[in-house]
Amino acid sequence: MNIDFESLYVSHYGRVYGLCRRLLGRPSQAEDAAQEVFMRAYKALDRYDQHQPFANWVLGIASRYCIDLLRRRSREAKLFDDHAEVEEYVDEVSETAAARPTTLESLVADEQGAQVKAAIGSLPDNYRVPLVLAYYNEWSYDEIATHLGVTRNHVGVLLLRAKRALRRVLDESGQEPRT
Amino acid sequence: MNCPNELTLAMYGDGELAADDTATIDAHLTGCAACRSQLAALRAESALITAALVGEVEPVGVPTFRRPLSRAALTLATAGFLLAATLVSAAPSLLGNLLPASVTRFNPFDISLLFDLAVRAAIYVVQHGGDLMISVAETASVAVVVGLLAWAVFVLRKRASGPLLVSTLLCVVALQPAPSEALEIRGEKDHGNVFVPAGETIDDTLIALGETVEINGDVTGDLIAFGRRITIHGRVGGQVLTGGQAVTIAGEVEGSVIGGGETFDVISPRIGGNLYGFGQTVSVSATSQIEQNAIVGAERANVMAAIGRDVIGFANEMDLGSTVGGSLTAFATHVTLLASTRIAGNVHTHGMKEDHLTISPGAVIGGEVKSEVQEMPDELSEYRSAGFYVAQLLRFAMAFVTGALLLAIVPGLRDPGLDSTRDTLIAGGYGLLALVATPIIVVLVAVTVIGIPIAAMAFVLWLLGIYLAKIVIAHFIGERITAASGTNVHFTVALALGLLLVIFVINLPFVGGVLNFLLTICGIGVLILFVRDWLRDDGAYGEQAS
Repeated sequence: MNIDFESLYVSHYGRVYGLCRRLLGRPSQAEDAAQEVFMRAYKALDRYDQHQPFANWVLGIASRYCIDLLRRRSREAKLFDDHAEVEEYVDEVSETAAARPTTLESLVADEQGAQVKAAIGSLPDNYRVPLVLAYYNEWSYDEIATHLGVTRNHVGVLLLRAKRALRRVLDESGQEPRT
Repeated sequence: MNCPNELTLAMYGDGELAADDTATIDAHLTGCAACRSQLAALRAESALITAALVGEVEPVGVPTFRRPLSRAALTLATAGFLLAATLVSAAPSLLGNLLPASVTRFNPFDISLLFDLAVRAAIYVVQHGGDLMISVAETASVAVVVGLLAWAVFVLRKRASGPLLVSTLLCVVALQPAPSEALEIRGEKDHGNVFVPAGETIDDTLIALGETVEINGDVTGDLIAFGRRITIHGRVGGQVLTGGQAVTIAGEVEGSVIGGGETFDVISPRIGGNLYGFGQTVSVSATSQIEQNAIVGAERANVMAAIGRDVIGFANEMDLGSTVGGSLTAFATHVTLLASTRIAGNVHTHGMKEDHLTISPGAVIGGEVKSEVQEMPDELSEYRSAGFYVAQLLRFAMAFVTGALLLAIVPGLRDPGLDSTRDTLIAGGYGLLALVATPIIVVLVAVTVIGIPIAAMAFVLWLLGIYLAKIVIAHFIGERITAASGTNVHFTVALALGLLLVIFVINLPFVGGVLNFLLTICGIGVLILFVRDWLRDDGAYGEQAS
């Protein structure tokens, strides 16, 4: 195999670190995780299909590793295993559909991206992870579903719930006096 | 149709709705301005989140990538590490008085701690031996087979030459006689008493466990006997491994004898191998003959037998009246060489006082006599010596270098996942199990010839685990302390801080030992869980390329 791993490492480190940072929260943990991810990638290099983009492959490894870390962190919380949640939520959205909840856009002005990012960081793991996988990794619902071991619909529900939680956080912070 | 709910609209916006549903929503949107504006808002929201997540990547330095060590390098590094540890532990005797005695603490495998652990494990086995040994013997044999198979499967997934290896391993396993045939285990009948009458011959290895064990018949294989009172009168063709409150070995043994007890008496006419005897009182009678070495550790040791090679003794009081083919080395408060002593080689004793060696008139020594005085500071006064602090500094330095290397090679260990009390308890449980069960399993596995390399490997891993455990925990503690104070430091800084704390804490009088034990079992647990997760995850990444 003729792969220049060093240069792949240099060019992809930032992206992988960014993913770990967004999935895990703590910067020191993200650094360690990124190192471990590349170590694992290096060892698994003979199984990398060169026709696929390297970024997809290594981000897959990173996502899986971080999700495992989060799972270990909250064994009792059972990150994404609650399937009953889906049905419950479908009822919930049906009731509130007419209410037309406000979206983030109306809550934050464009220049406040940092505020959105901080709010995403404050979300619980089970909301933050699908959000990062969908909008940072730009994965499809199917890919996310496979990684989290849930159904496609559940992914949709988790994403929508995450967004609503985000709206709440920003709504509350918006009402506080700014310094 | 009615307006779609927010979930449907959001999925539509993300392009994740099924084709049929997409068409329905398309049709609806043309006629519903409210939904169109809601959809636009949802899309804008997604774009905002994407922008927030992707747009602003904080500048991050790319650390140098360290390639993982190849298998050969890893083996070499481990061998080097073990060699260094051996050299360090042997340094005092190699370099004599050039080094202060306290430098032995540099040795990562603190012998006294290990000895203490081994004795505790043995006592536990003696007290709860019956059921434990039988179930462990059964599960250990199954575990070995399952372990080999699991490893074979693991290799098979990686390499095309796997099938060959698997079939070879299977053949090896199949060729091994099953434990039930190779071993005879006695112990549950007769209220826990085991009695092998004179005249009965056991053509196997015998494991005898009971309140009293009395072996008057012959055993052609090895004999493993644990109980309160052990008496062996019969002849044993292999080795003897025994422990109990009162142990008497009176029969002939072809191999070596390894044993311990409150009283440990050897009156057997002949032991073909070595004698390792430990206990409060160890006595080896004048009628006995030991063809190789005698290694004795006791509060009071009395060695009168003829010994083919060397005698090494660790005792408070040691009396020797033997004919010794080699040399005598003794670490004791008092050593008395009786008139009957005939030592062909040198006599080298280490004691606390000048007059710790007494040589009776009539004793004959072929080589030179050397008696050394060694300071043995008591528990508390050791804190007053400068050597103690030098030793702790060396200990810190060695642990730091080892830890920094380990955490650089395996970054995953920097986050041991001890985020709740529950996780810590789970890790501690695994650690305790491994700490106690490994030596027992090692002894049982070593009974079979094929098991010896596996047992040796497991034992080395066990020692390595004990050493690395505290390092991993130290880094974790250091990391949490710095994180709690709001600073984000390099992992080596966290490691140094944690190690300083851990070394301080485990040296505290009275509670230090307990804390040391708790930190060790947690660390071992973390290592086990990490290796388990790593083995489980490894091999899954290839599938993601598709």
